[in-house]
Amino acid sequence: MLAGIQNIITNPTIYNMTQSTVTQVTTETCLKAVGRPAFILADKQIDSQTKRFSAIKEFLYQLTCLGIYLSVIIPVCRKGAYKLAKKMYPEERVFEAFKQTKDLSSFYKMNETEKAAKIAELNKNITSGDTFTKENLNVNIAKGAIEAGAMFGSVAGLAILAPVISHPLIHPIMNAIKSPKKVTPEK
Amino acid sequence: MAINYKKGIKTFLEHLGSNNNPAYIVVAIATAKGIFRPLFTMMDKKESSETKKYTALREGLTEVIAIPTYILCGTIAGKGAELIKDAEKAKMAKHNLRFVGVCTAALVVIPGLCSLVVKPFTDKIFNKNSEKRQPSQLQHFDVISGSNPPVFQKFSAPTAIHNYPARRISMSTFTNSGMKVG
Repeated sequence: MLAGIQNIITNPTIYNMTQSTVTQVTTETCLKAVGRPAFILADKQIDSQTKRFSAIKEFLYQLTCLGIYLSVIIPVCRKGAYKLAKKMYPEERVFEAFKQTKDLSSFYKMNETEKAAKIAELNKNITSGDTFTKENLNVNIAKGAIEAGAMFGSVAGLAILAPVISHPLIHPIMNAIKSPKKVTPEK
Repeated sequence: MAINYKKGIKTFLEHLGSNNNPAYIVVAIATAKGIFRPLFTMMDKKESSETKKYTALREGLTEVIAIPTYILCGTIAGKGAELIKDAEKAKMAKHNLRFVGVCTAALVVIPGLCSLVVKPFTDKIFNKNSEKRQPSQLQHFDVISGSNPPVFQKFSAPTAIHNYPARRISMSTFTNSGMKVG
């Protein structure tokens, strides 16, 4: 039992996945999309129709946030931050070796043997200048730039854009479901 | 100056690249939400002033609770990695456990704390305010006269008026529509 838990928490694949801001935010948003409606539905102080309405609204809100986040903000911000870092630090050879974010991300996930093979492959394609080595490839700065871009996108997207965009998207759906306030006639 | 600035960013990026603590992003999002959500609520022109204040306070408080909770839960969960002897495995375990801690905070701890703290706190503040305000609203009308002198300092309202919100009375109230009574 304990060995099983230890294997899970020391798993390098999970470690590499959770080093990514996108994975962190996506996981948390998915948990919130399930957990928050569950909390609302479990509340015994609210009547069932209001509970249902609020739970659906919360679920749709989290789903919209996730959609906006994954489809628009993250690809734009990650690539933008990578390009910006490339311009700011042209002396860093990591940007020369990995032209795009996906190349660096896949390199980051590799184990030591695969990394060595990848560096050897990169060196074959060099026409001029020094060869790439594990030491002169500052992977951390490039990875940091990608994560900083993802962080900026996450903050801008989830805290500022998503509430503004989600309202007109969710409103028609909630109107179709009917608000409990609208169902009960007010005196 | 510019070199120091670039060096500072480089150090930050290298740190973020080598160890992307799961608490960083959730704290950043919670901070931004704590600023912008109450701001958006207060800018809403459709809602009444009281509702806006209540909602903004509740939203702000939620994020104020969320920020230290995320940090604490991540740190406490990460302590579990000290049980692992192998340094490389302990580093991975620390990060993964921090992530579990942050997820637990988002899913269970923060909603639980908010239901315990936020509602009673906001209710206490707003009930106090409404208790203080109610008698003064009934006894005094707010007199705004512009260039003209105030008409009434005190007004003893009939019992029927208790059901209606107090209106501001100025000279224009009488000059524009005319006095219907008396």
